[in-house]
Amino acid sequence: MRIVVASTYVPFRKGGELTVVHHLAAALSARAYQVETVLVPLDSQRPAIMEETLAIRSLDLTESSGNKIDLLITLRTPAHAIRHPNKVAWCCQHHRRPGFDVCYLPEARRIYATSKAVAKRLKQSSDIDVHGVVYPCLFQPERFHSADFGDYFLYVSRLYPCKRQALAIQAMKYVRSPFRLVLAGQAEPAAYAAELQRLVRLLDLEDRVQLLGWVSEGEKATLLANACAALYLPTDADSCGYATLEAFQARKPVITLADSGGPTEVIEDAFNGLIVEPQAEALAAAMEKLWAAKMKAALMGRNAFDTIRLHNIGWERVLEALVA
Amino acid sequence: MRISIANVQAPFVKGGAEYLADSLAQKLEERGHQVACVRIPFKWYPPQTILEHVLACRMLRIQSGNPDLVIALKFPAYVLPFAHKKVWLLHQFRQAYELWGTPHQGIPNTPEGRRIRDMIMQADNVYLREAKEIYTNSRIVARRLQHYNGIGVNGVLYPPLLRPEIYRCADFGDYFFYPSRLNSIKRQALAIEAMRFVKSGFRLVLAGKADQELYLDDLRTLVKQHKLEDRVTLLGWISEQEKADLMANCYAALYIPYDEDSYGYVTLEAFHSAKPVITLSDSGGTDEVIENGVNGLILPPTAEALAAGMEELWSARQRTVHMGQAAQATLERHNIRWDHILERLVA
Repeated sequence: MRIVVASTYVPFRKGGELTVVHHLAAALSARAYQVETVLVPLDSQRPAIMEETLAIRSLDLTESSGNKIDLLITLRTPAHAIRHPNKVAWCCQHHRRPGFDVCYLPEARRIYATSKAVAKRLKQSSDIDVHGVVYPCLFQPERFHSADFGDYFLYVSRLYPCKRQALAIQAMKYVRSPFRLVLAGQAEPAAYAAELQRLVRLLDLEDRVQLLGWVSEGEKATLLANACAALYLPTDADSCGYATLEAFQARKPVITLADSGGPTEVIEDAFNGLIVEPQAEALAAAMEKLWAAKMKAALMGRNAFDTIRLHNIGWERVLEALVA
Repeated sequence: MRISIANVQAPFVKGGAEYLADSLAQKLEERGHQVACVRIPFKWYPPQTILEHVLACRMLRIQSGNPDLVIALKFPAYVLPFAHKKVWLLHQFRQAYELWGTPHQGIPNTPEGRRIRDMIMQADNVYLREAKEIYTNSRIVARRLQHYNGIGVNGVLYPPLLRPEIYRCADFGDYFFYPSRLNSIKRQALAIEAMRFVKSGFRLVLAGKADQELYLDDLRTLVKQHKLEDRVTLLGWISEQEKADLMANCYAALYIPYDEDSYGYVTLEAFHSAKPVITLSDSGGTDEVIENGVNGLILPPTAEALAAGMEELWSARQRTVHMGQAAQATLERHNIRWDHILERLVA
């Protein structure tokens, strides 16, 4: 069976939008499907993507070089515009305004959302009912483990204003205990890294806050294994985020914010993490709380690990939905 | 520098263009550039689909991520709009040009087919001229561009291998080796046909993934039909290292496509392994580096002639070894190396 996984992306940018595509492709080929990914570049700068939608609509992926393509899985908008008689959409974004490809979504045999938030938005904005929520999952989750309760909170994510790394830095100003904050991720725009550095200097936090830049998968696993807990603070995100899943897999609780969106679908306050108000003081207090109760944090970490199964997050569920 | 390489993609088919794009990306990264390989899917049948894909490329935007330079390789990826665009042209859409009027034409010779052909040419006329510089991978592609579109080029850049160091000469074994995608335009069938006329004890080894399973079936049938099971081996896809090992131990290599634009990586792999290459007089770009009787043979495109050519080399072992040495020297003479290419593309 030949499967094409199609999505859109912004060249040069590293992040979850490509990870989900590559991991899905890897999971499919590990199960002996023939898989190819099709990634169409998208100009993130422009608000209207009518041309891109029409361009993508013009692409013919029913066959390739005389070989029938049996299944098309579409992920990031406007990839859903691609024509295929056996198309399954796995919608992974919820824009305020739906993409132009939303009018092609009903062509899909089945429509899934990567989170309840995405499903809800599709219903509200376009009156589209999904067949279910299928959470993305980690590739080779066994890479993540817990080693130590270290002296730092870890936030792994693209450095991006709406991920609110700045708020995490500001929170450190209110922290009295000796733990540190470690931020890892590529900046977009690149100037944002310098901005965060400036903030660190301004608040005199050079000894307490570390900006690592992009880290490899291996480095990330090691950092997580030794973290006290993880942070994931997006603004109204469309999914729980790989950062959350990776922390859960490493048996670390995750602190998120009340308005973070997706993460609050899987993070339960005081069970497997903390959900706090989006203010620096509240965030600082939450970190202090976990730091002071090491045993509790460890227990929450175990709960976090169990949450993955609780929500049926795994490749079995993904493949059953998308391919079966 | 941030550099985007624009290429096309036929899902599930990997060939020379993908290899070149990957090699170029790697060499650019080795020199400290940030590189993104952008691949736009392309399907060329039915013929109207071609125009839709040209249109798609034209409507897509490649400026996201703010590259300083876009290097486009293939039709229709080079119609992507971008101010600082250079083209390293591997080939145009050949069915509309030199393959027109041949069995490989693809587009039907009907009023509609001819209109589509005109539009493809028109697209090249307009959009290729937007490029800041145009290079080709062979002289023949440059000549065609001049002939059909009246567009001159800034130079010819011969694509080198990504890792030439894995190729070496170990032995002159009892087989002729033809590694290439299995595709009718590569004419593996002709090589099999030739083996019918061979009297000596050597074998033919074909390696490569079939673009279409149908062609693989055809080849298998042909082998069986002529009872050549003991003489012809169809290996399927092999790794780069396996290919290097087979090349190191073969007697000589074959590269016999129909009117190919470039000399082909096979030719370079053989030359780096100090093996002569047999090609055909209508194979196209191969004659830019293969000289008949010097570093290989250029034969008429018939099974009998091909068989005779293989027999000729087989009966003259010392001469074959010398031709292999001459083949190795050819690489230096044509200055086929990455330094030269990056200087032109990035400078």
